[in-house]
Amino acid sequence: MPDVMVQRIIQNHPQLMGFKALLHGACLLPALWIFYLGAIDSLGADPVKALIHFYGIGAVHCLLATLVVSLLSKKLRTPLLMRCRRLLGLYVAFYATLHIVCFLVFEWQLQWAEVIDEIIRRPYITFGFIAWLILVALTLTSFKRAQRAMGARWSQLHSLVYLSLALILLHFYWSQKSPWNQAIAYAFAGAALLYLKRSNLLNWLKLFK
Amino acid sequence: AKVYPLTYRKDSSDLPLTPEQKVISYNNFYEFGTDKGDPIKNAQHFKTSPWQVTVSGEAEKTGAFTLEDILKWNPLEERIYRLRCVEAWSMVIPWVGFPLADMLKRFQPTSKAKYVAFETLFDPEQMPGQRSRWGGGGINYPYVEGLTIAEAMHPLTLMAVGLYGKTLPPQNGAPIRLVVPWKYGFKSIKSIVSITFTEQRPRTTWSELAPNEYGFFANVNPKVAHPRWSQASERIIGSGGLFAQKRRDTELYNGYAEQVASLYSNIKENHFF
Repeated sequence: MPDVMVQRIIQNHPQLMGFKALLHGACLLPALWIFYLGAIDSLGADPVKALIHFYGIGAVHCLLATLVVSLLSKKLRTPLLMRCRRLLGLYVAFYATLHIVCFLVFEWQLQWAEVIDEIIRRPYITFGFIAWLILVALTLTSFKRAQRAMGARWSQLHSLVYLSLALILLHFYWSQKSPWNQAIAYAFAGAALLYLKRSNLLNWLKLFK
Repeated sequence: AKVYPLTYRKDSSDLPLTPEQKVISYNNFYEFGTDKGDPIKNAQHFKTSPWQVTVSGEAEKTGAFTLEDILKWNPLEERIYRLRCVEAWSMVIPWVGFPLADMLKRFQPTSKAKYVAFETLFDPEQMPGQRSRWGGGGINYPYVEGLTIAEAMHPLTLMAVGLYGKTLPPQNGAPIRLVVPWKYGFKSIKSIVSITFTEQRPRTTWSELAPNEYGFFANVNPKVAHPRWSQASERIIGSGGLFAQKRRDTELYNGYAEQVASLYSNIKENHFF
């Protein structure tokens, strides 16, 4: 079968469409539902913190999922799975953006000067912010046309996702009050995934030599 | 554990209160889990009776006293205090209790008593956070805290046995806890089983866990940032959802400067850490 036909079958695969719809639901509905709970004060004593944490951890979950998806699709040799990666990647940015918007609007009541001061002065917030900038850059160049136009530079840029992951996990760990916290488990998961993707990581580093 | 109504003298303060439901469901009490929603779930079977407090160290009268004894010594009064957490949120809570000074005077501390050390119950069977490093945020239990004798004897320093007119719910530190309103909340140790008068400065839990982030005094000061976040302002835990949130500027000594600043006039070291 010619390559083009394989492509077409994959693109219009009804199972893929169904699976994508499912993924959209799984990513979108919790984000909306939790916001509704926060708005009606049904999110515990501190709806702001609860919302910020939920969106932050949501971004981490989606990011880890994108890495798992690319690893699995390679292992299982199924490009179908790979076609969900961009969708998941966009949800990483979606959740991270909600995380930051809630921080700005509800935690800091739109006191821009204070927020900028926090971003500059608090290393854990600086790291989180840099990670978000990377995610924004990846989102803006996530389209097929951008990919074609950028050529080799595209994968160079998009491999920054590994740096973003590291920064996000550090941000998460550092934001906790106690040094023994749940972020450690996520850091282990992240480190394991980076280890499994080490060949990609090394190839990427070589691009800068 | 059930809560019971208390008889006490009312406080006439008109500070707007944090709703009771939020006071009792948003707790930093790592012995019952590190999430602020954990204690209300995990502490409901906590046994607060019988309870005794052991008094030892540099005092004439030491020994073990039951909670019933302690409650007989002083009449209860309400104190509506601001509570400022080191995490930059705040509540206003109507505590019920008695001045710590009135309790401590009975033990006749000697001239060697420069500090007062407190200890929380250690009971891993009842307190899941004490069973493992992971569950308890890495704290080396039992939780310990301390004050200088002058701070302990200050009339604002309260031994609380209730809030909102009832006995303390377990997640808020039942049956007896400290409340030091001009210091960050972690100084106000919960579920106290031991009080020791000491000559040397006692160990304190958070300063031991993260010595670069938490000191012995921990007095509230908007100008002294935590190494990882600003303390200039605080979010008020009040009623209402996302769109009813408020911030306020943090006050020096949490608004109690007039009463407590003199405690530190002769202290040379950084008493805001």
